[in-house]
Amino acid sequence: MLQAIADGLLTGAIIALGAIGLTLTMGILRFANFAHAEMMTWGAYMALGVLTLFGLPTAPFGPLTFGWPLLVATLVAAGLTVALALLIDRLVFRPLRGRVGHLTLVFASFGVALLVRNVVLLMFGGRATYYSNELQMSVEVMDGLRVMPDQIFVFCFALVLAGAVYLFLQKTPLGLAMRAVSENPSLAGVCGIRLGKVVMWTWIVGGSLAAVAGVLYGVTVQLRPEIGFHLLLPLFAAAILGGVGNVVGAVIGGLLIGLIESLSVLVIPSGYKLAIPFLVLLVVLFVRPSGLFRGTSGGR
Amino acid sequence: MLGIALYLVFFLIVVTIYAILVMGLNLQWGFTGLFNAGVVAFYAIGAYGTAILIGPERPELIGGFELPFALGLLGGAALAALAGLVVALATLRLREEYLAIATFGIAITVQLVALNFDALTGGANGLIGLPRPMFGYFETPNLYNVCYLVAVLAIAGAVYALLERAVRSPWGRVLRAIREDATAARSLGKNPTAIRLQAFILGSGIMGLAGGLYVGFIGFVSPIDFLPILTFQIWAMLIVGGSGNNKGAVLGVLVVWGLWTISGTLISQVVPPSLQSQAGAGQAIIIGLVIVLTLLFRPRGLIGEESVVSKHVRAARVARDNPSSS
Amino acid sequence: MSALLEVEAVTAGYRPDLPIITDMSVAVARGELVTIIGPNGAGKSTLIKAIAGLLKITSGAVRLEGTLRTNLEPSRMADAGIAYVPQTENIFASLTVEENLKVGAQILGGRAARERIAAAYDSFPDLTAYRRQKAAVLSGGQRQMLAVARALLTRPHLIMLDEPSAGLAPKLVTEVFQRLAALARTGVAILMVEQNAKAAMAISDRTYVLAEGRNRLDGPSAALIDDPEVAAIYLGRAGRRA
Ligand SMILES: Nc1ncnc2c1ncn2[C@@H]1O[C@H](COP(=O)(O)OP(=O)(O)O)[C@@H](O)[C@H]1O
Ligand SMILES: [Mg+2]
Repeated sequence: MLQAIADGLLTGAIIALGAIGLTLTMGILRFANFAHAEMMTWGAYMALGVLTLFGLPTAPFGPLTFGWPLLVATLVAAGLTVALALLIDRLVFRPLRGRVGHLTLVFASFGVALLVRNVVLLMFGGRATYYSNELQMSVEVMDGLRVMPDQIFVFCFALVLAGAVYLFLQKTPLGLAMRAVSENPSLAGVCGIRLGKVVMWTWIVGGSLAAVAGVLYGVTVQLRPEIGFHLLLPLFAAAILGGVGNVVGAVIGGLLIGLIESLSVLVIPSGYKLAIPFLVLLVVLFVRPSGLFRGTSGGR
Repeated sequence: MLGIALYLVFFLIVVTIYAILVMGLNLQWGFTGLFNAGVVAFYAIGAYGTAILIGPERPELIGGFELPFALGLLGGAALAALAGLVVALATLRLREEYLAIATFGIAITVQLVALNFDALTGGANGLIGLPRPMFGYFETPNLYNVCYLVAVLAIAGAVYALLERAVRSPWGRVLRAIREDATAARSLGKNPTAIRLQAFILGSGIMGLAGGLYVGFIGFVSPIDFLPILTFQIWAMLIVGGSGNNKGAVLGVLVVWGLWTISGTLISQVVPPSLQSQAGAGQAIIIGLVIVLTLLFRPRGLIGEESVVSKHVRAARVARDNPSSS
Repeated sequence: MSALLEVEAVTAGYRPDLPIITDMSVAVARGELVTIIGPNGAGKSTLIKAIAGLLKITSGAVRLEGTLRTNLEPSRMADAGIAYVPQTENIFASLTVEENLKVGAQILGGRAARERIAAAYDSFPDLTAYRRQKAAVLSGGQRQMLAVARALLTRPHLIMLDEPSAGLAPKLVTEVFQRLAALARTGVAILMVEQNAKAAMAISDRTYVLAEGRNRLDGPSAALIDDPEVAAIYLGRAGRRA
């Protein structure tokens, strides 16, 4: 039980990072981006690519299985993920935006998701891999609760990052502009906010968070080309549960989804775990479609 | 020669079944503007539903009702329609893309049930040894396949005729009016949610029917035939042909399934077996490119739909612009 | 005479195949207060949105101080000195009052922004108490004030208001109109859409009457205010359809 809660919170923190980016795109760009979770896959594999390409050592830091090389690789991966996001926006979403109904944009992102997933599969193959072969002993924190040092690091890092994004949105002019566009893009434009710039920054923030979330997933679970495909529903469920456009909501939504998913295994066979976010989503849509917290009007 | 002819029969049966799937999707997207991201789920529900209803009784399995094929087919379609009802009820009142997300979710769920609920679905092995309708009356399997093709073609023709009638009926006109301008349609006293719901359920049922026909053809079901890529393939078929147009839909099936089959054959001959998963990725990339490039450069598809603002919308706009109360 | 804003034979709408306004022309000079009136659905809001850059203009031209500004992005129109207060949703309800003003002043940056925001509180002291609260809590009148205060932060050359008096108590309506007249006297060009035709014409210099997406009449407000044809455009339309 305690173990399930701890595991759930850990996955939840990773889901939360992905969901922040997703909720921002849904709020600001105003469409449900099916390709968002694939950016996590892309980011995770780009980090792997950097590690192998430059033959970086594992250089474990303290009790962790990784060290500075992975941090460097993550930074590069975040850059490459942002580049991919901007490229896709440039080539696909921007030409379509305004020209077609927004559901066609959703459809385009659906096609893009397939492309990204399979490009990763083509480049790296389908086998599950890891960043490092270091074995790690779990530590007994309490009676019946064992965690790995990696997991503690990942959890704290994800929460700190989420906090940083929150401060960025609340305290900086750019964050204010993003919130304004999220509520009302026309009015924001009329006020002199450059929509193009806000769109670009949305991809920058969302893309880098996705990359980091992907790497963190790779560190604590494993790397598979289906990471994104399997995380898409949890991300959507977290974003909708937290109120679309609401970053704090997305974090809480992510943690809740992680918890519910993990606790569900106590009651139902673990083979169905992937369907849990869907059930949560259906319940949310039936009972409280606006989510637990107030979203921006982009969420309506 | 005979080999090629037999392969052609096989190819055409699959194409026809996919054409039925595409027509179901066309009703949802092309005519109603509803995004279904889990086509494969409704197809699979129809297939498994039919399989369980017609299957032989087996002690280790739930189901095995040994019903006649026609009843199994209808039952499968009804189950798919029911699944459509559940997701549509949850999402149609809400933001449009929630339906897309929910249908994606049902696809994942159905896949999990197919793989894990051994007692119902046979798990990874699937359900085998299903009776093929009237198989005993034919001298050779090949003759049977030819006749099955004719039967499937007839059913596809019936679905086509039904849909053409439906979209030209007053109901179909309201459907288009809603897609173009839900607010205007509402102001005419049409309830967009109810009509969208009907279209979505009917489309899901048609997809289920296609699933049942597939079971009748191959005589077994297994999760292998219901991979997520199928949803993308069906979508590619729809938009290549031109959504909102049933003739185009059929053309799209031929083009995309042809492309898929040819690329698959080429890859299997050129690529060493050790790289098969990468080869599969290559094929999926082709499908993804077909979808994205068509959207970008040929949004109306090869045939396309006439762009007309329907009379209903005009009438509603006039009514809205001239409130008679003032 | 070269007006500050010249709109020449503009055709625009929400979809390319369905123009809402056709060949519309409007001009506003510096320090002039111009009213646009017309029956419901005439295309008044559509015209203003098209000028602000929110809708695609399919033919015609928008000139500002003689420079062509057709189909510029809304934020570029704002840079060019146009402020626009929409009819509805003209504030950010999810942001605080202070943040609303910051958004309005962000083109100015840093010090200038802070000074103008302080000045805005001086001109609209009612807003001061709500500084740190979400704009969602404001009353209708306060929202309108916030919207106008925000629009004025950048000291625009032209301010366009879509039904600024809608939903306000009669006393507030008078106050809003008086403030606008005073603003015009400082040299700002004002273009406003009004349902409150008589009151708006009473304080404005010129009036345009629109119907069914086209110009119908225009001239000095004083001359139009008692023109039976103006009433006929309203009544005739309603009478025909009833
Ligand atoms: N967002 C919109 N999308 C499509 N049509 C619209 C939209 N807003 C207004 N219209 C249509 O444009 C016409 C003119 O509306 P509007 O300019 O708002 O009129 P007014 O402000 O004069 O009352 C109306 O027929 C209305 O139905
Ligand atoms: Mg208006």
